[in-house]
Amino acid sequence: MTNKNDIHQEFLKAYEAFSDGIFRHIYFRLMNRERALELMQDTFMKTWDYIGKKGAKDTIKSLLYKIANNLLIDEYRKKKEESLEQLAEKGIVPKIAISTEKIDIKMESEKALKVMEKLEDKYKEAITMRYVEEMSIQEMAKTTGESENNISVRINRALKQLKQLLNG
Amino acid sequence: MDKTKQFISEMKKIRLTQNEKMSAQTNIISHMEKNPIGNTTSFWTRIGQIFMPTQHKKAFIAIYIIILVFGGSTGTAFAAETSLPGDLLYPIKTNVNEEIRSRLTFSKQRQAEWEATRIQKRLGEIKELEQKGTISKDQIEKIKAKIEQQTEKAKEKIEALKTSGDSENAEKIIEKLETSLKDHEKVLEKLNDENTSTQEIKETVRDLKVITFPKQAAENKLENANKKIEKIQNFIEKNHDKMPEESFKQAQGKLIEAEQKIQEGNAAATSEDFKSAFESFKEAHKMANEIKPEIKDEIKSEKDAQEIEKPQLKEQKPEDKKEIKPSPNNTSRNKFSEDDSEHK
Repeated sequence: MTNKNDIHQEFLKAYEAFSDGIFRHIYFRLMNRERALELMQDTFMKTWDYIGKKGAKDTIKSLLYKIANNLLIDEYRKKKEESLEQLAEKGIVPKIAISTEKIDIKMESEKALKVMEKLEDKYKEAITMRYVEEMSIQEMAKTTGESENNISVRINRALKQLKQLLNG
Repeated sequence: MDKTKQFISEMKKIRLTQNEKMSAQTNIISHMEKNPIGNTTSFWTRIGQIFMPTQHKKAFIAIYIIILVFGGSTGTAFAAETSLPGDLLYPIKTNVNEEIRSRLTFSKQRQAEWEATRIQKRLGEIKELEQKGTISKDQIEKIKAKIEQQTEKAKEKIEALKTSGDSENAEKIIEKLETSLKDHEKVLEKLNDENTSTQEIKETVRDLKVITFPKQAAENKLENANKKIEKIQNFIEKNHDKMPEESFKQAQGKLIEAEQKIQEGNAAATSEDFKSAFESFKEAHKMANEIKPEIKDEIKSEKDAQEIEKPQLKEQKPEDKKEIKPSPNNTSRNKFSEDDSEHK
């Protein structure tokens, strides 16, 4: 009985600690606050189910990020199907939309978000994990399943691109 | 670098609002409660899941058959078949062997039959343990939990069978279960004296009928209750002179109450509410059942009294016997099935 409560407590602690991070992680990729919120919630639920079925082998943090990434992949897939279908229905030729729609940028963070939006997906992930969530390179490697070397290179390139975007 | 730092700090400002965080947390907690970790999935259930994942069903069936054919005759799976609760291999029997078999069957009828058989197996295990004389409270509790779990499944399967249009076979399965429950009634009652209540086992299995075939269950109950009432009535009248007037009246009053319950049940049945009809009939049956032992006690004590003062009592012949007797209302006794046969 105590064991069960322990798991509950542990999981809620993890929610307290990582919900913002997971939310950001998803939000920067989707740039849709509502949807990011839903997916963040799904991430935690799926993680809970996973622990229930298979037990927690990894740290809960990297498990959360893995599941969030899987959900993001699903989301992309869904979006692709949806948007292509919609466009085909309307008879519009797909056009790559660079979101310059929100012209009146007032807040600094919105400006920053614009920049973030322009970053390549893998660089987005690298920057958020390394600098915003302040994860170690080892941790990132574990979570993404890539080598530490790869991660370091990616972080460097991400920083380079970011600087260009900020200055340019 | 400055700009980058600023960028990062701006990014860090993006977070959930307090409201968002709370509402998501509430949803997550309710999800956690609905899908508890630990208690429900035991170690052995998980083993069962490993052996029988839902996704690669066919491949695993093939593997299991190979194991059965080539390595099975002396294997664990067979050894487990005769195990009883508390044995090391018992979980393999219930979570692996039986689970696999229930997934190996494909026709709805077979599935339902198998689930019913599993419940019968549990009942058989109780009997076996009882005969061995080693049954413990823990074992009963285990079997009880299993029965509850399997009744749930059986209910699903039987209902599926019923909705597929084969209610005849569904009913047969239920009947089979009922007979086997009757066969085990003695054992269950015997064990009921101790702190563990096996009564619940009976109820769980019985409820299966009420849930899947409320109409039939209600009809049966009505018949039983009516029979009981009649029997009691005869009994009272036969022994009228042997018991004191007061307790005779009391018994009659109780019978009338039971009759009223039956009327209530009939009313519920005509409005298609068979579940509450069943409940009413059940209560009527129970009421009638309670009368007899009381009377027996009365007669006994009366007899004792008679022995002391014989002559007086013989003269006390009842005159108003027929007036108190509840009139057996024929319409209330009729089965209601004729009335609403069109509803089917």
